[in-house]
Amino acid sequence: MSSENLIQLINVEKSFLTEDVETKALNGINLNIGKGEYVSLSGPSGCGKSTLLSVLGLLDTQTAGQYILGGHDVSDLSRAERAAVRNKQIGFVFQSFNLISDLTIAENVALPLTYRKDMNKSQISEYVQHALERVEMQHRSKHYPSQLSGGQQQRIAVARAIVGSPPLILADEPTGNLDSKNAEIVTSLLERLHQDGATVCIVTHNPEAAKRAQRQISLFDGVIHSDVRGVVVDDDTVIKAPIMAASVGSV
Amino acid sequence: MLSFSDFNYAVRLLIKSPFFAVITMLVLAGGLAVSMYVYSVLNTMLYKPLPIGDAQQVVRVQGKEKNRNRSLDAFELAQMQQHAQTLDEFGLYVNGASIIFDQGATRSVKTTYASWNIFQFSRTKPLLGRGFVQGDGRPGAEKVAVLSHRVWQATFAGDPAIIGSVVRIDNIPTRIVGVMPKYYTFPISAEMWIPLNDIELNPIGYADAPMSAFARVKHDTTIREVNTELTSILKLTQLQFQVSKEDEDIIDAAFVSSFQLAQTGNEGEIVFLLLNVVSIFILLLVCINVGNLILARTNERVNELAIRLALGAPRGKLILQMMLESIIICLVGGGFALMLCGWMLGLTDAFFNNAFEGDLPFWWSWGIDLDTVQSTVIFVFFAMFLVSFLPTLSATNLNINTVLKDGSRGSQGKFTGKVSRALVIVQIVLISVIVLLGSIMAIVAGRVANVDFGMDTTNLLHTEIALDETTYTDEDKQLMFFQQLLSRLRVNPEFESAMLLQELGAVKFGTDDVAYESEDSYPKANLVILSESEQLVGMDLLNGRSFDSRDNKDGLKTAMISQYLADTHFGGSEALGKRIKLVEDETDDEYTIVGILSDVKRGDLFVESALTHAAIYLPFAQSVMPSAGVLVKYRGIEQRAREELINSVNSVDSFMVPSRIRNYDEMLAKLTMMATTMTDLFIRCGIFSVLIAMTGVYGLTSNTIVQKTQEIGLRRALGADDLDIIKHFVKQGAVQLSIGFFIAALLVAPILIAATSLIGISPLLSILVGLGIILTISSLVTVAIYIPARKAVLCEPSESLRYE
Repeated sequence: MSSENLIQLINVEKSFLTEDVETKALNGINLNIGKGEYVSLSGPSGCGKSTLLSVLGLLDTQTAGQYILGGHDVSDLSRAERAAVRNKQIGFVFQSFNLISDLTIAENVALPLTYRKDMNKSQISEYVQHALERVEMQHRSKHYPSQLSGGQQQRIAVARAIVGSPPLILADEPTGNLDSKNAEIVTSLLERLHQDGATVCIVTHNPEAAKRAQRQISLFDGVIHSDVRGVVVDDDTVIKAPIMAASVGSV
Repeated sequence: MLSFSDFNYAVRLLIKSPFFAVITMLVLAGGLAVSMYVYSVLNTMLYKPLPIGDAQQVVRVQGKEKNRNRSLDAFELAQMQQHAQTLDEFGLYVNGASIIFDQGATRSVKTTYASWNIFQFSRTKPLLGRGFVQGDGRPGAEKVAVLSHRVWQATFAGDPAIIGSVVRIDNIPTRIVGVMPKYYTFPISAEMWIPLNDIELNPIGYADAPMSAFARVKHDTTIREVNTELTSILKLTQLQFQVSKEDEDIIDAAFVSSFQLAQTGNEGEIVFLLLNVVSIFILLLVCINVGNLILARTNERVNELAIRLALGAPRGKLILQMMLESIIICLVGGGFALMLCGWMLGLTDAFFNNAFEGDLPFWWSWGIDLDTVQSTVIFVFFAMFLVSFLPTLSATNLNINTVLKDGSRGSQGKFTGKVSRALVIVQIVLISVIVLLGSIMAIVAGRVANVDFGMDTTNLLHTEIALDETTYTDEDKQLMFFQQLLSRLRVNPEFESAMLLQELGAVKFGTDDVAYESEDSYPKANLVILSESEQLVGMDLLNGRSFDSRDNKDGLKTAMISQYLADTHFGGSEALGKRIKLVEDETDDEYTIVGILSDVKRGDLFVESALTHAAIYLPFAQSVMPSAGVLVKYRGIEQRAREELINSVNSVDSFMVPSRIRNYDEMLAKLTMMATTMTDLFIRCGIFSVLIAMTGVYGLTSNTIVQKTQEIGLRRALGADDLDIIKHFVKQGAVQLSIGFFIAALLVAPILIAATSLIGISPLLSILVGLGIILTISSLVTVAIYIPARKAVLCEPSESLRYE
């Protein structure tokens, strides 16, 4: 575990208002994630894990609380500043791949870099090539998403997430639409990214995938229910060191 | 097949979405009404059969000289009447004006002098009395006339006893033998008919009497055959009478056309075609927009359709069921459109009849008629096809598996996206063409409305005096009459000035210091006969002198010229003292230039050409003629001036009254009103279409952007800021604009070339108009893209990513 925090959430709340009824998706979340950690977020449907990932990825704003990313308070950034942070510091992998069907694989991977003002075409092309090599998909760069299998598409999505070398990778159910073989490939890819120094945070329903994370956070009704750090002793044994076994409001 | 329950279901669906139903029906009704209205107005003016019996075969015979329509000589027409095998019921006519004297009152009426068979030809029986009979034109026969219903009411208070009574018409005792039914004014807008006599109808040689002819084309005969025959008769006649014709402008061909097309001239059909293209384009725009609304609705129902298909519903029946909704919208929209069109036609009819009372061709009567109803049916079917096309295509492409698995995000989204992009391009093409045509019309309207005649037309009255040549037998008598008249007018305190002015059309002329190679190389100018006048009416003397008593029959032959002519041919003021010669002048006289007058627009008032301001003025005393226009500038009240003008004419000759007295401003206003009103109307249609197109582009772009909500969320998740997203869509719009403009340019290039040459719009103006259109449409389309794009980026990326 790294001693330096990449993410700090302090009393973060998120409410949704539907037809005059307020629903609290996140209810006072306090969470620190260190640099280089591999964290899984799990819990039943509607527990708030995807909302938490959205807040972590600056895809949504918290209703209350403070969010510090890389030592900077990102709670009150403007829309453009949030976009810049997403672009440079966060890489996303979605359950449904979310590749743009009209763009080639290379163009899809290049997409985050096209929003950077300081990169020229040859630099972008070099980065894209490198990212595709990391996911072993360089031979499909000129194809379109529809010409690839689901597993291949998700590998492209991973390449897109890492192309700009962001310190934080957020993955929302990255293996949810994949068969076991492809799920394994993608999970391995994420592990490799983590080994290379990235902070990886995945939302998953799959207990097996969750177990492979260094730290497993479980949510229930918008609060952190458990936060367990798993220590790999040997190939088969994992000793779990509970950081927190909290009930609602105990933090 | 569809059953009543399907119909019921479609109606129920529409009732469940009242906003959608009302909007689509109203938009469609607006588009249909505009198209039907434009078609109906122009069809009535140009193509609808004349409202007389057996109208299909009716034609007017005319001549053509270098593509310009010309009247034929009575002799040429008589030859055609005698020898033509392709025409029936041939008759001659010429339009003019007559003065009716009735118990001290006088009234100038538009008179058609015609062959005796004119009423039989038009299959119309008189309301009272009789029409003409063959003997009415025989030498020595009693003079007879038939009145229009309007004149009968206005001049004789609708007194039936007028039949058989004798009235002085043009100072000749004439028996009124009949009154025609209301609205009958054949051949154009006649108020009275007088039979031509046998000598006028059958001259033994060229009579210098330009006339027109009416006839019916024989069955199984083509117009081409008629034209060929008439032209060969014309050529033969010209050949036989070569000697007497050698100095005249030769008419190249004879041809027949409908009265309607003859009335609007050569440009009528082009205008008809262009305006109908515009109206069809407007309908296309409307159908695309309504089709897009229905497509969006179909996409909303795509899950329902997929479930029905999965449950075993036949695809064909589902498609028909969906079409039923479009059909109902089109039928109801068509009904509204017919009512709207009828209302607009009624307004048009009332407006023109008020503004041009008695001057409109008799077939220009607008309202709902069989043609309008038929056109409605065609337009509605056209709309049904277009409106149903996209939703049907969408439903045909429906993939049940994809839809049931992914909701509407699968192939339907992609299909809609592609269609939307293509439709935006189509809209850009259509609106570019419409705006271009509208702009050309606006330019023409602007010219017409702001035409500078080069004359001060304030307080000017104009009338024509035609002397009876049996009384004023020679030039001396004729000159004396006009000189006396001018003296009386000039001493009358009601008038500030008076002069005679008669335009004689274009002539070729030569100057004494230029040698011309051939007759074709001589320049042209408008020839105008002008009386001596110390004070010119409406024009200014810029240099030299105006005509005076020195310019008499025995004096030096003199001329004045316009400033334009002086500048272009004589180096401005150096023209004074130089001599000009008229090419077709039988006398071979040379005219010494004594004065230069300010430019006055002559000829075709709305088209600028080298002839527009080129004018040669000759003194009336050296070119005496039995008829001339009298122009007076009055001081006080117009009505008094009118009365004094009649009194002055009567004081010279108690049997003489002027023809219809017209106020110059009023005359010019009427001249411009028709053009400006029609153009204004079509410009409004253009604005309507721009609105439709812009809302259409907005709708299509919104649709595309909604379909791309997830993509927007994704791009934003990857770091795109608001501006990046908006730029992305604007860039996409720029590509669509470029393609649209390119296709539009291919379509409008011939129109612009035609506008440059036909209407005289300069190439620079054409380019500026083109650039203006590109700029305007680009701005409007950008706004139409910006608004939904801006709206789309306002929600959080997480929300966009979850959007289905």
